[in-house]
Amino acid sequence: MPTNRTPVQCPSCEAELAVARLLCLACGTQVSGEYRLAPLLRLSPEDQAFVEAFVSESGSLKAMASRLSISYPTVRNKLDDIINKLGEKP
Amino acid sequence: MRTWLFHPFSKLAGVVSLIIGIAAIVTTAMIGWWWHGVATDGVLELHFVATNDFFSYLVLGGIAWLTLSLCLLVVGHGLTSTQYRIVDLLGTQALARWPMLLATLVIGLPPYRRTLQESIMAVQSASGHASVDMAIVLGLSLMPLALTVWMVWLMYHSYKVVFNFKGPRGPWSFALTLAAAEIISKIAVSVLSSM
Repeated sequence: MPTNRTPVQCPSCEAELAVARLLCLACGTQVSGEYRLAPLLRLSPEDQAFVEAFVSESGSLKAMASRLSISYPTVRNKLDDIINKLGEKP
Repeated sequence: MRTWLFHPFSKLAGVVSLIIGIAAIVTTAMIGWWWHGVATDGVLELHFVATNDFFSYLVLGGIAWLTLSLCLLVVGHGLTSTQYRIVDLLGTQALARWPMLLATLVIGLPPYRRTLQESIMAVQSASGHASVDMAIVLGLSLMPLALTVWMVWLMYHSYKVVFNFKGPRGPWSFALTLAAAEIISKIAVSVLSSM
């Protein structure tokens, strides 16, 4: 199966993308509709990578600073920005 | 390289910056004392002073650092919504003062100092070639001025990173706080020197 990241932004107008069709990997049944992506999936690939790294470091800002070779407040600011994005309404 | 010169606090903060910054402030005081009378007698200032007491140079450096740091802490705390660490502000503000170490080295050099003082005296007494002396004073002031501008940029960058300011609120609050801290530091230096 392809492991590409889910596109979150319309390449034409840059608005949010939603899922229009889902496929059962076992029997091939397809479901159509309009399903919004989960908040974390709506983040940019870079932000998603940050969140994944943050979780794998058990939520330690210090460990993230060391891992990314950036300062503690810079990690904190990056996290604040992501928290704000997650709280944004469409 | 550019990051380390102009945006160092995206890479370095906390206790490490505090240790390096305090070392830079102490070294600045030592060099100023060793060069016989160059001290940071204000948040933004570097002047010739008439004292041979090393402790005075150290206290002046401490006043310059802590006055602005505490003022920025009060203002930043009131304006920001982020969680911050005081050690990041104190450390990055201490480290932001390291251009003063270079400025002290330059100003304290005997030929530089002698030429500058002679030109200033010539301009003040309006004797000789005043326009030439004025040009010399301005020329010799350029490097310390550039180092001071660099220091102010680093101070602002520290404030912006620690409190995560975006938009015009950061620059405006920093400029007003810097002006207030400069006045407070001059008052503190004046009070201490009269004791």
